[in-house]
Amino acid sequence: MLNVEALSKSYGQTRALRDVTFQVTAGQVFGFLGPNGAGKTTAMNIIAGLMDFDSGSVTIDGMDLRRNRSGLRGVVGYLPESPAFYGYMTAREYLLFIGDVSGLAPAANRARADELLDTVGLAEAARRRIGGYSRGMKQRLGMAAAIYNRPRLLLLDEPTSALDPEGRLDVITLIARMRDAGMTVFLSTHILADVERVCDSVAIIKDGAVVAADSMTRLRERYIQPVVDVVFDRMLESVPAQITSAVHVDRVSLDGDRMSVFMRDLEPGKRELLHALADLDADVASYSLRQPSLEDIFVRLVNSR
Amino acid sequence: MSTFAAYLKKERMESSRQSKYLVLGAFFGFFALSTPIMLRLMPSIIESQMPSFPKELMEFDAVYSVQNYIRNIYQLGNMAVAFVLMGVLADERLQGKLVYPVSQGASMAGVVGAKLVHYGVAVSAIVFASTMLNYYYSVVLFPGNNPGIVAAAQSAGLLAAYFATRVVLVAFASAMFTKPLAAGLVALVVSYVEPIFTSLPRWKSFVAYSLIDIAGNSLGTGSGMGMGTGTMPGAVAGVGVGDGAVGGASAGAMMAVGRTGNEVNGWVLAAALIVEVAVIALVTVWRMRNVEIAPGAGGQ
Repeated sequence: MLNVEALSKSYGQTRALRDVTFQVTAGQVFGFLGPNGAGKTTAMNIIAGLMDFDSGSVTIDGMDLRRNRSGLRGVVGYLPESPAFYGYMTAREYLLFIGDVSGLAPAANRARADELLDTVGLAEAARRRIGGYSRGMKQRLGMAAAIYNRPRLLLLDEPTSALDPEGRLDVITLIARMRDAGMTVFLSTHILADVERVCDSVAIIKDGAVVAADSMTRLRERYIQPVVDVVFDRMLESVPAQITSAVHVDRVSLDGDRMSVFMRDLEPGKRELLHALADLDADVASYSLRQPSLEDIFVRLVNSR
Repeated sequence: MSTFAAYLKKERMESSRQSKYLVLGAFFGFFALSTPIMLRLMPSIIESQMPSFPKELMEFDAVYSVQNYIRNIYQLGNMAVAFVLMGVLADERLQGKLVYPVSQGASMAGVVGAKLVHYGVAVSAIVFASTMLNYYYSVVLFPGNNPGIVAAAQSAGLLAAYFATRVVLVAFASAMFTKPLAAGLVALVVSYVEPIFTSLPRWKSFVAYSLIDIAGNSLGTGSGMGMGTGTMPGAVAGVGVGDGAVGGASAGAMMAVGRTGNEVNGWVLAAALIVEVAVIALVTVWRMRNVEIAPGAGGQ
């Protein structure tokens, strides 16, 4: 659906994007992660056709973005991080305006506006002027405007950042529904829990370059180091050294009576660790395998290079 | 076409809800009403301050009154149009308001075209109506030397056409500059410098300011400040010196029977302005198509 190849963009001397490459498969929710200033919004603006780029290529649905810029408008829906509206319009008027621009027939336009206002939970506020909306309400309206003409590729830049937990859950549910309906969603967010909940694949960008891009499953396999947390009733001085010397243990970190054992290889490592603990006759209070999270991958990749 | 129609509707709504019609209407209307009233009161004011001032120098007529309005509204109206419309495109870019429409398939030609047509028609209508209002009050307050409603309507039409060209100029500046104030000031400077070219015989027929000259001249010969005929050298409006004029306030207002009107070929001027407006509009569309419209991408 979306193929980004060696994409580069500079602002003066600052290189915002450096040979960014990734692919998004049709019907997926693709997470785009990175710290502030990593180049996420620049990449999204380029893919949305709102900003030019220096080199590389962007192909959407088989069409080159540079050659088919006008043809691709309407194929791509975009929710910017801070959506801007005409504050003197009501939400309904704004959506009808978007429908007019898209060339929808009046009856279909009215029906679509009412349907989406209901979907994003703004039906009751539909006749209030947007100027008086909260940031969260504007974000919901932005979502409705972005999907108004049923784009095949939807770009969402921090869609949940201004929402309360309930609103976040609504948006994540909506994203999942859009994927189920066949839409491809490109999601940029800082909220890693949202990505874990809904994304099929992820790219992590740092300083304008992609440091990892793969499916969630393969990322977990490749980047998450298995960790076993052992809590002792009484820590023996000899325990850390003994455990560290085990073949499948990479390193050990201590926090009071809690020891975190980072494994090179989980399955043989677990067995080796249990044997070692038994041999040491340590007073073990608890033994647990830490659930790997995307945050672990993110922190590791962003901090490692 | 859907973009043009959608934006035309949107601009009407915006102008109505943000009181742009009201501001422009009140501005032009105020000067249309106040100019003849001030002219009517001027003899009494001068007499009370300077009893020995010759009364024959203060005999104004309707032609002079309307010419006085045209002269004033050229200067003040340009400011109103520039400052009300300076953000017409710059604001949309700067605040990222074009993101949704453009990503939904809006054409930039439709966006720019709708804005030019809407504000061109709106400003022209307001200018035409206010000039006719000024004509009416001028005839009521100064019964002598009525230029006639046809001549007045002709002048009003020329003045309206001039301000339509200003709308295009301001929109062009608004597309070129990120800051609305910079756009407004540049458009204003161009409008105020333009009259210099009317002093160059070869350029007269290509400059929009000639419409102002012709609008004043087509009313006939005005009488005021003791002058038989008022002339306004086409050079720089605002510093024009009326023959025998007394006092700076009335000096530049003498526009009747100026030489400008006789030397400008109306057809050439009309054709030149149509071409100029079309070229500026096309460049504006080109600029908006190529400029980055993403939020915060205003660095160009």
